[in-house]
Amino acid sequence: MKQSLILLYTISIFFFFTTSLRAQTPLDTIPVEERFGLRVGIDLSKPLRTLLEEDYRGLELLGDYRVYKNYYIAAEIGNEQLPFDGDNLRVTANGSYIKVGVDYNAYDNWAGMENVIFAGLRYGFSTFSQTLEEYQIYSVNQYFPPTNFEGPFETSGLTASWVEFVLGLKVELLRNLYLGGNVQLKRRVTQSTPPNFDNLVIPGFNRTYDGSAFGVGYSYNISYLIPLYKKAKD
Amino acid sequence: MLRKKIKRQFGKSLLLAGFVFFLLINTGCQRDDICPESTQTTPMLIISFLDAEDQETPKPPVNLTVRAVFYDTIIQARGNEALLRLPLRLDAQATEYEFILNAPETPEEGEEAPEDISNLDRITFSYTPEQIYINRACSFKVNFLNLNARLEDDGNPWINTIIVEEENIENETEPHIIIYH
Repeated sequence: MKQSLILLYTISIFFFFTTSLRAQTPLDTIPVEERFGLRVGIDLSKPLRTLLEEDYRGLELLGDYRVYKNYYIAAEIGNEQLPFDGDNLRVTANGSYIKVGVDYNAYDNWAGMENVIFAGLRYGFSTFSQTLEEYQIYSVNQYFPPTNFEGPFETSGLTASWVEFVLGLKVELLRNLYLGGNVQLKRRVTQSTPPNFDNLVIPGFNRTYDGSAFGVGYSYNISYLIPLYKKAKD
Repeated sequence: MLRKKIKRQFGKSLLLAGFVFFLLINTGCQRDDICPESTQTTPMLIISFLDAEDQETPKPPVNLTVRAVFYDTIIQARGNEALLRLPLRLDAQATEYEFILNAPETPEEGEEAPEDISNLDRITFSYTPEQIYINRACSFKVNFLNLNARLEDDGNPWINTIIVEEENIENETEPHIIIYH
């Protein structure tokens, strides 16, 4: 009895969705106006990590401007203190970064909605310092007690640049207020490293990988659209 | 109504994006966070013992016990090998070792201690430690440059001559020091 009720419920839900989905196809031919403007926001994950994670501190502002149909000019600017804690060494990087590029909105909105599912490209540049807080010389033989070297040994004036592929979305929660999230795949193009050492973390790029130029990142952000003008949707 | 449905769809996409990110993070790292055993890290000092008379022939010292001066722990107890591997101190410019030939056996309970015919020679190995970055998992290693070995004269040495074969200790492929006895 109970099972057949569940079955009936599931089937009716299924039909409800399929029929209502079909009904959603826009039939009206009245021209729809879309808002163009500047969207500015802040990355929520970085202040949250600042609170939760020891040694981490970060802030990122972001913005995009719709230039043509589904194309946006987008940029992020930020400052981060990134720790890296390994088995034999501990490092902190500290610096600022800027990322500039374009977003393409691949989502076909229905009338009156302005959500974004986008793919984007960025060029990122970071200027930072890296501090080797402490390290231990690796030795297979343990006859002598391990030797610890206490820092801080700081190298400043380091730079790095990278290209970044972004996939994400922005949902209009309230009028003009957007909640967004994205994932980033990065590939380092240039970098200057400290002498006899390597960049283990780069602000804006996050941690690096030995023997690989790739990196990953994410953002969870809230932004506000300042509408500047309206234009009829094609 | 429509708006709500859209939001639900977006929610699903957000979940998917999160999942993709999770995958990226998990497949991306870990591999280079462990120092592999095959990595050439801080090399050890390799000593080869040769015959003082016939300078080509390896001659293992008899019951050789080795320990660093001021260290209680023995690194080799009554060994009979022609090749010896010794670690060097990383925080100093020199390491002093005691080489005890014919080291006496520790007597078992009730047994009498055997006659002590041991001969202790001290060698000071001095060098310039050079730190070299390997990777984030192994951190740094030390190469020992300008190696020098000095036998302390105690009037009755069992060691004849010490020759520095390799001035810079950068790997463990060849002996760095040859001891004739």
